[in-house]
Amino acid sequence: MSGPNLSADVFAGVMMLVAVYSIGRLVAARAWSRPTHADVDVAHVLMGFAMAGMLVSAINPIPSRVWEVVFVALAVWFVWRCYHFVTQHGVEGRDEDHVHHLSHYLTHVVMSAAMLYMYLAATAPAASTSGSGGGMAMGGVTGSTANFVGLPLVFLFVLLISGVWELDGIGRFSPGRVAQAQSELAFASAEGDTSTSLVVEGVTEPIAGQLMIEEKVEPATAPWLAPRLEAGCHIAMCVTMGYMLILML
Amino acid sequence: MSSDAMFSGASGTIAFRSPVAGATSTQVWTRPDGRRMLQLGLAAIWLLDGILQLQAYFFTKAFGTQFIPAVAQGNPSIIARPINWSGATIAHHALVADAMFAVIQIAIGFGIAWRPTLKVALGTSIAWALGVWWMGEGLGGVLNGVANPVNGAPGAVMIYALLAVLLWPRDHSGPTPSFVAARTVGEPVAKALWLVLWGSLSYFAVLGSNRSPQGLYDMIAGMASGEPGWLSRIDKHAASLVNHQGSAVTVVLAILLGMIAIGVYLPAPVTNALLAVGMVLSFLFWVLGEAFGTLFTASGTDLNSGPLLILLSVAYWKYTSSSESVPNPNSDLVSQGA
Repeated sequence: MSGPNLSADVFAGVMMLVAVYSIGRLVAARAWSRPTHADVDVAHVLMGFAMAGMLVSAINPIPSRVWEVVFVALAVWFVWRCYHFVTQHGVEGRDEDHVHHLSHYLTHVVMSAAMLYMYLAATAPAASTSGSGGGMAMGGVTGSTANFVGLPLVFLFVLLISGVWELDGIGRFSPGRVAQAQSELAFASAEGDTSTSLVVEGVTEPIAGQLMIEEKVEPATAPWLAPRLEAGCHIAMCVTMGYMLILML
Repeated sequence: MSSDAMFSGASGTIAFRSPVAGATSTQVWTRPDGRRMLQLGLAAIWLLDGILQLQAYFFTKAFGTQFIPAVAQGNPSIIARPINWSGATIAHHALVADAMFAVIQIAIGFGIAWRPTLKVALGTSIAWALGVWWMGEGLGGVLNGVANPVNGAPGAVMIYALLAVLLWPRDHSGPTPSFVAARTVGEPVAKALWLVLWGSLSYFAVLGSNRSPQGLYDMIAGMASGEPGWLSRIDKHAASLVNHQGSAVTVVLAILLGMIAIGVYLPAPVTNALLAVGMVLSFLFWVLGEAFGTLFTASGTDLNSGPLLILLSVAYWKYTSSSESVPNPNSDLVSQGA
């Protein structure tokens, strides 16, 4: 097996895993009444299968035109989500999960646009190189999209920055962190409502060698479904999409 | 660990204090401060480098037989021999070698981005960068007289290593530094490192054939080859502007780079103005002399020096108000995984 084929197969496998896992998230969230970003999970399913199909054309039975429509719709949806977010929480606000900002949805707008770009830019070579279905041989499109390289370069930087940013923030969901915060809340609250959820709001200032941390207390709700795994899926998406965009430069 | 908490039902917030000494990485997560942002920028660049290494060309023998040996040319034999040996070794094991290179660089990127592995990743990045500087860049052309700041001298990977040192997650004792890069090593050392780096860029700008009337023209025009149409046109147009003007342009460039080198010793507004000039120059180098790290030729291994010089300049940007200059100690704790 050649190196590029090996890379494509590995990335395709990861994308299939992410897509299948995201389907599982949607099912689990419904079965256990756990909150999750359903639209993000759906996006991960679609992008996961689509990218796996681009990387290994044999596993993509859906024509490119269909995927193009899907990703236009997805981009429009996330643009609307951005608008909805701003009207509800403002530009500086946080999502219902108290963690994600507007950038969470903006990033998905970029990801949807990047998917659309990859289909549109690679349509011509795909027509002559692909076998069945709508799959594209990624290696075959190198150089064919050279007049649009400024755009994927922007996509590439946004995706990689989003990936490392998400990885940096993954510690927000540490079980140890949550457990400690909950014990602090139990200590603080005479009523002892231990089912409240806590979110770190940020350090205010150092005071005499100590740290002050503000915690926002929210009404009791079921905890968000596996946020670190959701972040992991996002990081995998960003890296894989970055890889594919580089092949198209 | 002992701690005390304060609860405010009206505001819906609870504040608790934890002794610094007892804090651990799993106990506190804070928003990234200036240094952490720069670390994340470095992580993204490493990640990109790792992904670039997965391009088809690097899995072929040509990577070991053409790409690597090319950097050995003109170097002393003590430098060139190991480069040629590593090229031959890579050529014999192209698939495994390139996969390993890609994995290492992606791991460094992820390692810097994930707080518990920050130190290990930064340490690895320094060792890796020094190795690549020798084996992959032939010491950046410093010893064979082809170094030119316009096309990336003295080697982008040296700046990776420098950034890793300057962004190491510890705070130097002493007065509060006025810029991020001084937090680890202190202002005198940080300024000296800046002076050496940009001073060397100034020196290389007028080194040998770089100051010949056609030197700059040849270099920029040469970058147009193999690039997409829009970039090729930019390169050719820029080259025509310096045609027969190479000597004058390089002297002006060397003076500018020299001013930027000593700029960190000047008052904050002047420093920042010169840093801004440095960033603009770095961007121009990146576009005109480095062709975006030759990303569009399917054989670029990294972004080259332009973006790294910009990142480094941000690290030296001087705070103008006292409130901004106070580092966030909590973020340090997390970064250190203390």
